[in-house]
Amino acid sequence: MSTALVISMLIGLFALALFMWMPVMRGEEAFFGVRVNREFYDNEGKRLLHRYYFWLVMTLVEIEAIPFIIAIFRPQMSFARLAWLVLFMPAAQILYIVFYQKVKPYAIVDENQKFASALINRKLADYTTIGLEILIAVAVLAPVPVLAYFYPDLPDKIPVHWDLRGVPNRWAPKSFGSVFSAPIMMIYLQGMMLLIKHGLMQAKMTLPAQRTKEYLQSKEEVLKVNMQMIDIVRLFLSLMMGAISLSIIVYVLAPSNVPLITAAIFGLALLTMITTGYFIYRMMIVNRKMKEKFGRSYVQRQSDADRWYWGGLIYYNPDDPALMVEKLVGVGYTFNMGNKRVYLYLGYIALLPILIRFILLG
Amino acid sequence: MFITVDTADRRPIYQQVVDEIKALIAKGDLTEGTALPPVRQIAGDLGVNLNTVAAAYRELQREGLINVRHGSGAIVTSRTSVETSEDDMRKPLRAALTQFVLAGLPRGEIMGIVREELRQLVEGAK
Repeated sequence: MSTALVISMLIGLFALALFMWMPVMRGEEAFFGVRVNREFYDNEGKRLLHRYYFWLVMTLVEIEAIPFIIAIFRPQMSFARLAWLVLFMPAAQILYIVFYQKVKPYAIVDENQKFASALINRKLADYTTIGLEILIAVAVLAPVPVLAYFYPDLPDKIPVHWDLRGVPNRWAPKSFGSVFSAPIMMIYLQGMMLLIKHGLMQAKMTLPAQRTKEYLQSKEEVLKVNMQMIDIVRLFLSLMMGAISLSIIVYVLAPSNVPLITAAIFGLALLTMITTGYFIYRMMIVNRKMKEKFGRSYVQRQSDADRWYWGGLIYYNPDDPALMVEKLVGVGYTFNMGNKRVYLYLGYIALLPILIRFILLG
Repeated sequence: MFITVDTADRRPIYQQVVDEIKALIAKGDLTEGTALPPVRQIAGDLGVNLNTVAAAYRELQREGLINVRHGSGAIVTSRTSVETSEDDMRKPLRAALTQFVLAGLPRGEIMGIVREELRQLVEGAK
């Protein structure tokens, strides 16, 4: 049993766990993305859920069996190990939507007619500190003079991508784009994350007409935690990219230090995952407390509730001026795909392949 | 601080938004210089049309209470409305009092209600 097979099986189990968790992440508030009452959720809903689980496991087993059989007769076809992953995800997605359609008729139609809006004028400055911004700016820009100083000493071909063991596996001709690739990427990514923060700040926050002040406080807490999570990712990513910048120089001029840099990058990546997990956990705790206190952690008008598609995964509402709304399935926020401003974000993301091309070809 | 609207209320939504913001200004919860969020944010939260909230902001600007900055919200400019005659202002009060009388409430009770409402508004005045 090779390492790659074990890793792919672990990824498979992780994907299975994720798809099993998706419908019940928010309990009866978003059971397969549909708001149902407690009674249905505890009885008929549970039966449907178990049937969904059964089909998920069957699908995984059948899809795993195919590459396993191929591997027996054609051991050279290593891609077969990954083929199942490509097949399992869409299959699981289709199953999810099939069961969402079964649950949809039981949706509670919310006849609530009173809603509130917080009169808070949010500013990006409210969700960061000057110290953090300076730290990130330094981490992003500090590699630039260092790379510039060592630029003449670098050979005509420089490494631009490393494998898991810290050994370079992709090279590029030395140019402004390839040498400064990490700072360039980092500036681009910081821009994207700031755009996301800006969008999050304006996210739709429909409040109930009862106990509005308390509810608002909890919602503000979720927003603040989300912002903090993005800021931590910004910081760690900029440090990681700084280390990657250094690894170009270190690999060429002092190769014995490469393992140290590799370890630092892995350490930072691990730290990022742990802290992100922590913040997500905190958001889930607040959501659970809100369900206990207010009976719900999400308020929306029926007209907006009708605009969720794909089992509560996609929100498409051209009549809604909000750019971002809170996710129905899971914690966090998602785009209102019907809002024209989404194109701004898509456009910015589309710059990425152009940027990569520039980096690799100069 | 927040505003509440009720789709079952007879008043149109924009009127409710205007009244809610006016009440907050009168109570002193919204002080001069306080920034109000952009129209699109309130419209998104309440699930109403952009133009509805924009109309409310325009009305408040017309009365000299806020100053609308295009795209970035508005600022409360004064706690004094430029609405003119006392006679105009008496009309909705007369209509409301008529409703109470028709509901059969005795004069003392109506006075109590009036005092209570006024106290809620002016008590927080700074």
